[in-house]
Amino acid sequence: MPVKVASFTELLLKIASRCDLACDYCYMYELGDDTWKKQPRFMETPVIQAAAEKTASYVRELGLPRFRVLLHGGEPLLAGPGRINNIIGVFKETVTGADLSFGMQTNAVRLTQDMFDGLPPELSIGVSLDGDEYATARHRLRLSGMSSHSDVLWGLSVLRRHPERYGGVLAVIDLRNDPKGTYEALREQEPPMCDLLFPLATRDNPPSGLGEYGRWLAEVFDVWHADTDPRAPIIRQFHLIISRLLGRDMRAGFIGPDPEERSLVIQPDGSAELLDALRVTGNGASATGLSILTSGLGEIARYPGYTPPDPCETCRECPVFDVCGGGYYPHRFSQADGYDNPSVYCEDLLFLIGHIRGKLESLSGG
Amino acid sequence: MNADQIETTPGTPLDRIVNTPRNEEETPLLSLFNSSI
Repeated sequence: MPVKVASFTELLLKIASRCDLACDYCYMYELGDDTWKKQPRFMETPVIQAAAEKTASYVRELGLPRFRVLLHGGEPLLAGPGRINNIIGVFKETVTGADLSFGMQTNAVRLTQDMFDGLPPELSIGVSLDGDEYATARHRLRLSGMSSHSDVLWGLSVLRRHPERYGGVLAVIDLRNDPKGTYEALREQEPPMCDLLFPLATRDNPPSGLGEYGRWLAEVFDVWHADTDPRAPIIRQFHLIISRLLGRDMRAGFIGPDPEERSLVIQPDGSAELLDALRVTGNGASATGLSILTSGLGEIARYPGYTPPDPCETCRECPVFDVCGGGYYPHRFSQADGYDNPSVYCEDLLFLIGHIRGKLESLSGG
Repeated sequence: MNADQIETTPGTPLDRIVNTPRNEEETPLLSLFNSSI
């Protein structure tokens, strides 16, 4: 069998290893992996330089027309505008063979107007927000235990004044939050796009309320699909499911077959890592032993873990497999069978896909 | 399922998705959060 080799189109740079929030569901700090403690607080200059130079070589060798650099953490704004400008400047100067785009995922607690004005204008910014003030207070807490909600709303108010830089918001579902209220709270922030994520879980550690997540999302879908408010965002999961039901080959890792485009995660010390969310499967699960200081992207791409595991036989024989693709692969994990399982959220995906299919059929008179 | 047969309300996000030409549907934003929570 030929060896599959990943193709990177994105670097996810962990520019800060610490965070100013203590969200209880965070895969970096709360889900069993403590390797972040060994990392420098901020990405080091030789790592930035090596990452840019090796990206330039890779882009040139593969003839890639585009490449994306995402700044991540920890909390990337802890690095401050000076470091962030430096990183983007190094990449712009070094990677000249492809169109570069830059994004950042932040908790927005430090996103004041002054901070925003100091950031590079190329940077598109996504914000993590779970919904209204009650939703935020359940999980997204300051180190003091206080909710981060008011500071995040302040940061979002800055972004709303700059829609061309506003990537979207990303929420983790909590079944205790009202679905309609959650949607309306997110829409109030006028994001162009929303992500509504299942909590990270494996088959060994399923969340409570399995089977209810699909119904929760279906309730959001019903409010969303009829929303004529011009601020109504695209919701990525719905976009993906609708597109695949219409026979369009859209994929993003959560829904549909695995995308051919992959991210390479680089830690502050230069370590190359696998998909961040694999931390949920155990301590050090995302480690490769490789470093951007000593390996190029092409060499790193040959590490087997960068190619997601094939969906299990149960999934491949499922009538909605063409839409679902087996779901997000960390959700398939169990100690006993590795990734050779349906998603822990299988029942939820089945329900949601059936609900959306039914709605589209009713709208087509079918 | 055929997009042409689905009746959507203009201006809704569903309308934007269903009636977006295939070659315009992929936006850079779609991948902004691929690896994030």
